[in-house]
Amino acid sequence: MRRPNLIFAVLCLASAAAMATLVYWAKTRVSDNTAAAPRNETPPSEAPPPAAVPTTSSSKDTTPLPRASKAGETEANGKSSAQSKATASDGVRHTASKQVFYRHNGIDSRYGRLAYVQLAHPEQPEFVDTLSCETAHVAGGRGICLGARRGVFTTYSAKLFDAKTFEVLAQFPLKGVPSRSRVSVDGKLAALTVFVSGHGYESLDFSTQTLLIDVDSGSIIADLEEFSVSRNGLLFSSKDFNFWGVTFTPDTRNFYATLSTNRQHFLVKGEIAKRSAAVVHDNVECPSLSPDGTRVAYKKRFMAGNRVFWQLHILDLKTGKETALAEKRSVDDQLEWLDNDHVLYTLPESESGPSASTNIWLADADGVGAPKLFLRKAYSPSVVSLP
Amino acid sequence: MYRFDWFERRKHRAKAPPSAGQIANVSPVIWRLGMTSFFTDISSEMVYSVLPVYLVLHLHLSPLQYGAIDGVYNGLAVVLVSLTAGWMADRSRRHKEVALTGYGLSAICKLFLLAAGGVWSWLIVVVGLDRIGKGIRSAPRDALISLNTPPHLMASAFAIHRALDAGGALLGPIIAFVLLAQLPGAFDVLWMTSFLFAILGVAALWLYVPKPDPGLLPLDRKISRKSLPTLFASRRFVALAGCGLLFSVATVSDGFIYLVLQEKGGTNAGFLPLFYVATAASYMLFSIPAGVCADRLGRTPVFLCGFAILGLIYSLLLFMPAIGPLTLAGCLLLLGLYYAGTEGVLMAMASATVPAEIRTTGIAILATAIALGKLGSSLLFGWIWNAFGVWYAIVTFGVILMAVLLVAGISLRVIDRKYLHA
Repeated sequence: MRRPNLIFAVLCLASAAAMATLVYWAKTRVSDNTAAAPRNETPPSEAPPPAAVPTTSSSKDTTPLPRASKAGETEANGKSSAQSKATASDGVRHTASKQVFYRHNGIDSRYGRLAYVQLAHPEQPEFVDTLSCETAHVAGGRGICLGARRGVFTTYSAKLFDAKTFEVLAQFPLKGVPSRSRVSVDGKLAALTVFVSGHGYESLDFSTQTLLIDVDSGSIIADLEEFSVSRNGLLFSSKDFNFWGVTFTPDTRNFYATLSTNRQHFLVKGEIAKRSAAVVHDNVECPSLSPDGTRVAYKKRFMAGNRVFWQLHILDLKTGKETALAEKRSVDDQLEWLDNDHVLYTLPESESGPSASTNIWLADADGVGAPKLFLRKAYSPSVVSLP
Repeated sequence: MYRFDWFERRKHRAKAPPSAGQIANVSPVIWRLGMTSFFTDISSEMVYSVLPVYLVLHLHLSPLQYGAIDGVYNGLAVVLVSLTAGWMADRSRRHKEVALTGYGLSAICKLFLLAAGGVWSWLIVVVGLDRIGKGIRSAPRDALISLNTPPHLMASAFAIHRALDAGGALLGPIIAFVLLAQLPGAFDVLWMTSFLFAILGVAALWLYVPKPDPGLLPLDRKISRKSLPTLFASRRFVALAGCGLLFSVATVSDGFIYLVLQEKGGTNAGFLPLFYVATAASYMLFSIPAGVCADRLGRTPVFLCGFAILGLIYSLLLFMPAIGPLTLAGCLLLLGLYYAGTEGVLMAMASATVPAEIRTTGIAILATAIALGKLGSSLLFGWIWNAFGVWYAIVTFGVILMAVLLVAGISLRVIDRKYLHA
């Protein structure tokens, strides 16, 4: 090489320039996404920056949408409006007006924010600018948001909040990466699952921690690994127990969850007061109890070679009958029931490309009919019936 | 060009007197090789520090699947690659070109990451290719370090290189997390930035590192299959390779140490990347002083001291009732000190015993022994932890470490004595 210093200096400068361009391009891409508003969920560019709005930036008071629906309008129009709009958009009949909370997953300035839409107006999302969540759930007027603070090192925390004012009622640190969260129908209890696994290949046996939380006091009432578990009436215990994916029964006395041990994944029914749980079914992950409490929607694990994939199923708790849903893609999610006949779940936006973004899909609980796209750029749905 | 042929011939017959400005005497080639590793480490640590987050949170793979991706390639495939590459570098006398191939392959992999997107099977291939690149480049690079250094400065030379390497490992994760904090979810930008750093590393090697001095590698000493026995004829080399193997079996991998620290200290799992950064910082800080000490005071004592420090870490893990922030920082500092006292020093000790024309192969054999030992150690520790609990695992490893220290101390001393009298 004749002039190594010159060549290296030129390379350094070129790299620095390329990096600057990249970062600039990525920054503009983020704001472009916001400005172009290609999807229903993305707010128009005129939306003021999040900092300007203390709690929620509802489309009502911050974005001059042409057909801005006021909250009152929805309530006033009542059932008929909700019904007709929903039927027009996704072919599903709804007898009551509903709200869907979700994590906004579009790659823009509001990435990761908690958001919600009226089911009747899915094109008008409202963002909760104070809550950024990896996963969230809302029920009974209360919500839980598992958030991450990314810095040089990332820390995770859980926030319990009021679902009307979005005021944070309590928060506490988490031991690992958030995975699942649930609030009971009455808003009294919450449950969360985090991955406590370290990193890398040593943690081939990953481990989870699942906690039950008293929402009002914001205190942890139990770690599921403290529960005594029985199987066929016999006490059942092993060091490699991992619990995940709690779903509460409507009366909040019991819950269902996944217990994994020795590569098996059991559905357990827990009794909170007795701190005990019993195995009720095999190969059930991330159960979600239907609003009427009769069925559990879940992902069922299959192996193809060394690869794990999950197919969505519904288990009738009385008869033990399993129904496969029409969705044939592998879904790694805890489902949410839209009503007694429909479930919601999340899939990556593209099956091949980079998919930091996800969409929420809707399937019929009877396993008939093709799945439909429900909400774009969204994750972790929770359905709340408005009074 | 420097001519170190003379030093090579002198070997260990008489120890060169330790000079005051040892660092100044180390060839500038070492700093240049260090810059190569510095940039390459920034590039690869950027990727590997966020890969778990990318795979688990964004592609919704399970941590189990991630474990599979990461685990597959640290195994035998890479080990075989490094032996073959080492042999080819010696055979063709093209250390620099072989190293360039390895660095270049890893650099291109960063672009492939961009193309692979979220496809799981492609990710496996790309991560595998990247690791193969690492397997190809490590031994020729270490051979280049040793071929550009007189034997009495080798520990210092390796120390400088490892300090810069650790500096890259320190900056990589920081750059990655700053980027992701500014541009959430912009993994493509991260892969591109990583690619650019990798290019700088390759360029530093290509432009600044000369080919090894032909004087060191006379044509009449061309190697063939028959040269291998000469490698094993050196008792000291065999002893050192054995030490490498035994000590790496006795070493609990950092991943496990961090997990124990985290569990005992009750810190959040999110702090784990900080543990890596702190260890790298300590390694970078202590590497050069430890290397200079090794050259001046003797490499064997410094090497054994390094493992004694590891023993100290084990006992801290065992006997400290609770781990506060201060103990935690102390443990990470000691872990860096342990690396500083052992990793480069062992390479220097081994390099000094292998003839120049077959050095890359010798280094590759040592690296293979260490990799196999690490694999065994991780399996053993994981198994004991699962079956009996973490305290039994640490006690077992403490006992193994003490036994290995004893055996290594005695055998190295015996062989050193024979070697000097021969």
